[in-house]
Amino acid sequence: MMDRIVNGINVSKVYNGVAVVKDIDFWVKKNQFLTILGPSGCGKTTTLRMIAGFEQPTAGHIFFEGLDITNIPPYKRAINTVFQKYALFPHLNIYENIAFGLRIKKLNEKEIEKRVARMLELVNLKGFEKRKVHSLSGGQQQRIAIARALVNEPKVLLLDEPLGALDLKLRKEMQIELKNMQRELGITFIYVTHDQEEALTMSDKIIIMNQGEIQQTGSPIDIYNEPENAFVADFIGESNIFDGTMPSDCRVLFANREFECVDSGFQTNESVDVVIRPEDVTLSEPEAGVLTGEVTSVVFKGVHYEMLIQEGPRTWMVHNTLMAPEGAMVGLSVLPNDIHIMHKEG
Amino acid sequence: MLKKISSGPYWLWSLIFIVVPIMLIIVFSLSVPGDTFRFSLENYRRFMEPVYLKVLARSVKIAVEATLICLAIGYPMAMILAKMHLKYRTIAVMLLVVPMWMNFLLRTYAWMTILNKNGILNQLLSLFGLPQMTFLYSEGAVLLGMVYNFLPFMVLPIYTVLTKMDNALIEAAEDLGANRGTVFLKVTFPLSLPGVLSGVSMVFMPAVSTFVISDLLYGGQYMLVGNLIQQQFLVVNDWHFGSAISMLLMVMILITMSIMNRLGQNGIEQGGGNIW
Repeated sequence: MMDRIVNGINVSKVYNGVAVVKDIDFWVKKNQFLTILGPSGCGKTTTLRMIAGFEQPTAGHIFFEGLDITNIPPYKRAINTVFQKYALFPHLNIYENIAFGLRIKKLNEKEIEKRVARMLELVNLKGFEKRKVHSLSGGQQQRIAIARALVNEPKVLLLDEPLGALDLKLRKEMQIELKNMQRELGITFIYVTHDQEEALTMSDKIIIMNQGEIQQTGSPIDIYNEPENAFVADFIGESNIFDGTMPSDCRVLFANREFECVDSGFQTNESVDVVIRPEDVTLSEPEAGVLTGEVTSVVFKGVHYEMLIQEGPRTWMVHNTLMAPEGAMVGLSVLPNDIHIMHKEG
Repeated sequence: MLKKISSGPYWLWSLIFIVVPIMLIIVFSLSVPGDTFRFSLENYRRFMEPVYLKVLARSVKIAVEATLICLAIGYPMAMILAKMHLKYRTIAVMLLVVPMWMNFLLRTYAWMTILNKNGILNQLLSLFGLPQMTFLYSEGAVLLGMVYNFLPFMVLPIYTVLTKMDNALIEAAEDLGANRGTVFLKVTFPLSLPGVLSGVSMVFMPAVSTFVISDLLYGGQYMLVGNLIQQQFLVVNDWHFGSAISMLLMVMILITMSIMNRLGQNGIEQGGGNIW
C-alpha cells in the first residue's frame, strides 16, 4: 500500500444524474508510467481531473502518499497537469509561462532563471525565452506546456491526451521523449489517451476504461496477450471475435468445428466470445488448413499484408508477411494457445 | 477588382455622412461669422481662456470619476454574470440591457423625480424623521446620472471577454499553485484588459461630451463642455465657436483612445512581465 503514490478508492462521479465514473479503484506506484486508456466518453479524463482536483468525486476517496486529498483544492496538491490544448498563458512570454509556478512559490530570480533554462534545455527549446506563445507551433507549445509543469518538480505529472493535436511523426517522437523524461526525472506519470498504440509504447501499467468502468488493469504485454473480455481485445490491437460455445474444458465449438484451446472453468455449452489475433492465424494450402476460405481483400501495411478472408458467413482478418492473392482459396489454422475464450458481456 | 467595387458603397457612405460633415465643422471652426469665409484661429484662441478651460477640466474630471465608478461596479457585475448558470445568465443580461431600450431622456427624468426636493428619496428621509437634503442640482447627481446611464457599456464588454475566456487557463493557473486571488491578479484580470479598455472608452467618451445629464440633473449653465457646445449652437448661435470646441473635444478623445489602445496592446500582445 505504501508505495502507491496515488490511490483512488470507490471513486464515482455523477453529472446531472449521469454516472460518468462508476465506483472505480485505481492506483499508481512511485515512478510508474500509468496510462488510462479508453474510447471518448469512457470517464478517463474525468478520472484525471479528479486526481488533479478540478472535479470533486461524487463518492469515494483519493489518496496521495497515503493522505486523503479528496477535498484539497488543486493549488495545494503536489501534482501538475499538461492540458490537452496546452493552456499556455497568451499574455505572458515563454519564460514567464514556465516561471509561473515558481513565481507563486516566491523563488528568487536567480533560481527561477536557472530552473527555466534547465527546462528549456530539457524540451529542446533553448533560446525561446522571449518568444510569444502564439508564435510557436503546436509541437513547440506542447513542449512548453510540459516544461511549465515539470519545472515545479511535481511528484506526479498528469497528462490529458497531450499529443492529440500533433501529426503522426511528431507524436511518435514525443512519445519516446516523454518516456525518456519520465525515466530520467523519476516522476510518476498518469497519462490519458484513446490511442492504444501510444498506451502500449509508453506505459508500465495500463487501465482500460469503458462507460465509466475499469475493464482491465495490467502491463501492456498482459493486456495485449491476455485480454479479459471482448471489449479489451477489440480495443487493444485488431481482433477476430466469433461466437462460440464451450462443450467442455479446453474444447471450443465455433465455425462449425471443435477446436482445442487452453481455457477452462466455463459452464457446459456456455455461449462465449472467441478472440483470435490476426497475426496468430496460419495460412496454408486449402487442404492443409483446418478451415478454408477465400481471400477477398489484400492491403499492404508495411511490415505485413492485411488480408480479409471469407470463411462461410465469417470474415477473418489475417496479418502475414506473405501475401495470398485476392480470389485465392487458402487454409486457415490456429494454435490452441492463440484461441482466447471470453465470457459474453451483459 | 470585385473587392474594390464592392467596397464602393462603404466609401460613398463614409464620404457623405462622415468626411463631409467633419470637413464642414473644421471649416466653421476656422472662420469667424460673416457673409464670406474668413480664415481665423480666433475660436481656438478663445477657448484657451481660463473660463472655458475650467469647463473642460471639470468635464474631464467628472467623466474620469464616472468611468472609475463604472469600472469598480461593472467589473464585479460582469464577473458575477459570467459565472452565472446559463439558464439565469440570459435573463440577467436582458435585465441589464432592457433599460437601455428606454429613452435616454426619460431615464434621466426618472432620476429627477427620485432626487427632487419632494422626491421619493426625501420622502423616505422624512419618514424616518431625518432632515430633507438637496440631492438634485449637484455634481453628485450628475455623477449618479452618468454611472446609471453608462454602466451597461462597461459591464457588457468585460462580460463578453470573461465568458470567452478559456477555463483551462484558469485551471492551469490553479494547477501551478495559484489560489483564487492570485488567479485573478495574474490570469483573469490581465486577460480581460481588452474588455476593460473598451468599457472604459465606451463610458468615458459619452460621459465627457454629454449635455443632457448635466442639463437635467444640474441645470447649471456652463457645467460641462457638452453644455457649452449646445449653448453655442442653440442659444448663442455661434456655430463657429461651437465647432471649434467640438473639434478640440474630438482631438482630445482621439488622443485618449490611442493611448488606451497602446496600453492594451502592450499588455496582451507583447507579453512579458510588464503587467505584473
